[in-house]
Amino acid sequence: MTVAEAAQALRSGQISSSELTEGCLNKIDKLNPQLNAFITVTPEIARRQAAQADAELHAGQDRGPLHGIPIAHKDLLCTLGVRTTSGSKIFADYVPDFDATAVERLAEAGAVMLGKTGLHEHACGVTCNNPHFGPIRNPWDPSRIPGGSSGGSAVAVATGMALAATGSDTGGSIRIPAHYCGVTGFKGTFGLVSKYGALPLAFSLDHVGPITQTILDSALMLEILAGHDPKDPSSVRRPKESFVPAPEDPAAVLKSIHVLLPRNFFFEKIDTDVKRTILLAAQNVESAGATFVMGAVPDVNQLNAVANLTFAVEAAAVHEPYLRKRRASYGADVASNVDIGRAIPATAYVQAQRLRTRFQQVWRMFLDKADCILTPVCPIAAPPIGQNTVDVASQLEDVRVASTRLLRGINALGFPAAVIRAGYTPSGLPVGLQLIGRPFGDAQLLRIAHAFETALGVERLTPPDVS
Amino acid sequence: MADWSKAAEARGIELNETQKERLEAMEKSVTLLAAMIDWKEEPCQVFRVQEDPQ
Repeated sequence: MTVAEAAQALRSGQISSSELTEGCLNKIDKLNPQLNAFITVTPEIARRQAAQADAELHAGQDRGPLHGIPIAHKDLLCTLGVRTTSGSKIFADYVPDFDATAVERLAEAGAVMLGKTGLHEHACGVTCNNPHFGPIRNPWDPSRIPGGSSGGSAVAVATGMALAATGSDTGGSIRIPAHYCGVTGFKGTFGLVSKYGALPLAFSLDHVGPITQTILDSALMLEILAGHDPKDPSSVRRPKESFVPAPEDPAAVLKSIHVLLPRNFFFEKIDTDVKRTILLAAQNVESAGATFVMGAVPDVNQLNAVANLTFAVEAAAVHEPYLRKRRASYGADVASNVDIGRAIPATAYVQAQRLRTRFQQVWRMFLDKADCILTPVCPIAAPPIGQNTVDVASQLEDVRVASTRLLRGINALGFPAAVIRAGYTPSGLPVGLQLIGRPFGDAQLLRIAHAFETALGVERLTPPDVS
Repeated sequence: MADWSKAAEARGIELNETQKERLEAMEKSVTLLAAMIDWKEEPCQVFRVQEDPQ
């Protein structure tokens, strides 16, 4: 059940929040031992909040579409009185005395918190093969990774353990698991959603956002999450706007837009099945009325170089004090990433920021030519757990590099990006597609993504053995 | 060995071969990209005085 469907069912009296919540808690009991999506489950909080939501709805107090909806939070968002581990040994016993703004806003909107979902240690990786809390498993094939770092959130949503979840994205951490697990993810423009209370990884690249079953659900979540927060210095002041797509004919939306399909980089080194799925989706959307333009995008390798360097230095700045004192508490891959950041000269970081501003201008002008850019999310479907390299179009590639190279640069630009279901590979693994929009064109991007989703009509399949 | 790796070693940061390769690749990229910088413009807006108390 989607958030929108559940919201309707709650208001028509078909179901109560307590029933929805019990359904999710039962699924968690049944599936979490195998899939390991949750680090902490909070049944008492969930039952109390659900009962309150029911009582309020009964009394005619309606807080909006998230009222009474059971959701999960990525375990790097601080939660008052509930431990927040960041998937790490360092924070394994950290119990915050405050809520992250995202958590606070969703609670005020009446959402019910089921618990905290697992992630790649410190959100610094894509596999969720967590050395401290165990591997998170992909529900479509438990021998495969769910992607990360917000893997637990994506698994929870894909299986119905939660109706929606929060995630964070520094180099693809919402979009990668959305693609590998067959759900929807949205990374808004940098500054749109407050990061206050999200344990940081790279302060100028981190984004908080929703992971949901549909793009409409992502829009419903964003409606609550977006908005200026004085507690986050990167939060922007903007006039209030609605992110929820108006009910309109998707064909009319598609007929009014130009979609750019990149001729270079994005489709160059990519698995055949993934490529075929994306191009078929593009063809279907074109048949439904959208105008496609083939064109060369600015050099993504250059953008990725700047993003990689920025990420490494900022992650080192966050973790260096902990790493100095407690190196043994870090997983090898995270420690290795932080060490690289420590080795980069300060001058290189400043030059990278100058280049970043330049690239932003170039990409912004480029996006004047189209309403959005359509790309693959990752060049592969979910790889097996424990595999460090993958074969991509007959070339061996590091799993982290392969999973992030089509995404990381967008974080350096700070532009919005949506991931929706495009289809499934012949072996039954999900494939998503990415739509990149103009900065602060989040509402328009959601409208386009919603039209795509409706036109494509990709079936929301349930992972095997989950129904 | 690239300059960044040497400098890191001098500062006591131990890097394995894979890390050195990644670092070298980054150094090459940034050196090449430096040609795109407009050296006359302000380096970047990393600091500004806030007018309104947050």
